[in-house]
Amino acid sequence: MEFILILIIAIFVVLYRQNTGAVTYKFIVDKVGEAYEKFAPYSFKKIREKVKALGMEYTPQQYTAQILLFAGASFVVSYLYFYNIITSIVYVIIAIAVIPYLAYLRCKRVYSEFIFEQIQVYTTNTIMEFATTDSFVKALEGVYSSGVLEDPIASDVKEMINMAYANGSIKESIDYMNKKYDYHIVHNMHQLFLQITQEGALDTKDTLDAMLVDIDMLVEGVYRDRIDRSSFHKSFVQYGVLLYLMVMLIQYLLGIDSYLKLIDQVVVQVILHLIILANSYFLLNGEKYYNENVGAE
Amino acid sequence: MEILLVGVILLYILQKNKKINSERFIKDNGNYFRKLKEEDYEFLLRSKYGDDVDPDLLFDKRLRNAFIIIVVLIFLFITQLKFLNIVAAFVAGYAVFKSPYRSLKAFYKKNLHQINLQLPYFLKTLEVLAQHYTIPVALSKSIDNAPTIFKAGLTELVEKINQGDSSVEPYMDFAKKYPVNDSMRMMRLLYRLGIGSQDNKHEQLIMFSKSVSALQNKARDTRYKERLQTMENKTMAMLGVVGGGAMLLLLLSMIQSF
Repeated sequence: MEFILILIIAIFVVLYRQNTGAVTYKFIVDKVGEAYEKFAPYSFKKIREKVKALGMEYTPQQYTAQILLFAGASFVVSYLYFYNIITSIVYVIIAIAVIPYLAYLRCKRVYSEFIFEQIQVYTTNTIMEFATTDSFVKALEGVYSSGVLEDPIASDVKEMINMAYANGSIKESIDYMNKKYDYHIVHNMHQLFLQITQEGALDTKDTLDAMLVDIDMLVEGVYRDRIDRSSFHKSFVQYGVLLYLMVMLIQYLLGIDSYLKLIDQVVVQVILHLIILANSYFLLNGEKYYNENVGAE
Repeated sequence: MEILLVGVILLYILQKNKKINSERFIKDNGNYFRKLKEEDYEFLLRSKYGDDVDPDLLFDKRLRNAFIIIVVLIFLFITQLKFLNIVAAFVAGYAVFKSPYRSLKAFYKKNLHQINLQLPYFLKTLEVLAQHYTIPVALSKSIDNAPTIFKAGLTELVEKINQGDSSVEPYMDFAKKYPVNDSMRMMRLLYRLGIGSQDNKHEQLIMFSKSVSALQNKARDTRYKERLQTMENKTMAMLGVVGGGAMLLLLLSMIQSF
């Protein structure tokens, strides 16, 4: 068993010595990149591109550090459970295999938060522009040319403007944007501007001011919630990782020799696997919940 | 066990060939069994499946399933029939009888919660429409984009208004259909907005808008708290399962040492 471990280390050392460190990393990154291009869905590729452009995606060095951390931690934890190198290697592979999924969840969260940020900029600025231009399309043009929006919202606003001129009506532009960005604030603001354009402008100053206050309250709520959830998430992960070490407590209570005797039984081995898998499942499930629900509305 | 299997197959064949009717006993004694029906059972059924549902038929199904469970369990225990086993069979039958009711109640509770969270957002849309239209027109225009949960109530409300009912009743019926926090107050406010003169409509709308915004904030806070609670529950579940596993291991080691 030890032989296999030494063999793996030896292969890595030989590979590393034959190439320079940078080349070895490049080789790994290239291979991972090829696999990613092959299997990652198109929508996720777009999301990841944007997250990269925002500077929020991990660098290859950070990914390498994450892989090493996951591999090391899973090896130590599983070895503490089973005292078996083969089993530990299997767990190391499983732990590394989870990393792309975590990256997927993280990118989706960053992207959703970014889109919400842009949406609140879009709605707030359009309302403010409307106060000076008294025209929805002119307001959109003002927001677009001010450069406060980034893609994909900026290009969608441009598309709205083009559609409005092409159709001679803002209805299609609004439907286009509502369909792409299903947020209450977007729907309500568009509905109001549609009414103003179709039915004539009443005294809308107070209404638009109230709408701005609503957006401010929403943004404040979302940010506050983000801070709360982030601190809770941190504790959740720490707690989950600490739970893996509960087996150490058992070993202290029983003594190492008794524990080694205990894990000779198949039933005990099954229970130990179930404990690790259940703990990992809850951690992943919590991670998914945290990243998927960003609270925008 | 073999006798039980043969019996089940025989009963199935007789039932299929209409030689016997297992539901006749329930139908004949329907009046007595109806006393077991919960007071709010029909209301809960209608709120889930609509008005077309037949509560009696579904109640008979509940009874039939409970009877089947009792009979099957008694047959299973037939070689060692004790008082305790008979009680256990009846308890299992009762649990089967009650389970659809419990799931209906859970659905209604969840539904009410959804209504509670969605009502402020729907009222906000209505408020925007009310800027340019009268309240009845705004209500009918809101139907298409309203959350599915409100569509039936809204259609009913608009129909009553169109039939000439200008009282507060249709609005109150809507509030009763969706009995959540503030629905009565908001529907009364909406009614007053509808009958008020156009001169002070603007001021009334601003007041309505402020109330809706406050409701929206409340719903938002509830939603955020619930999400944190969900994460807390996940933490507790994780502790429970991993801690339970560790306890089991300790127990096994104790058994081994004896």
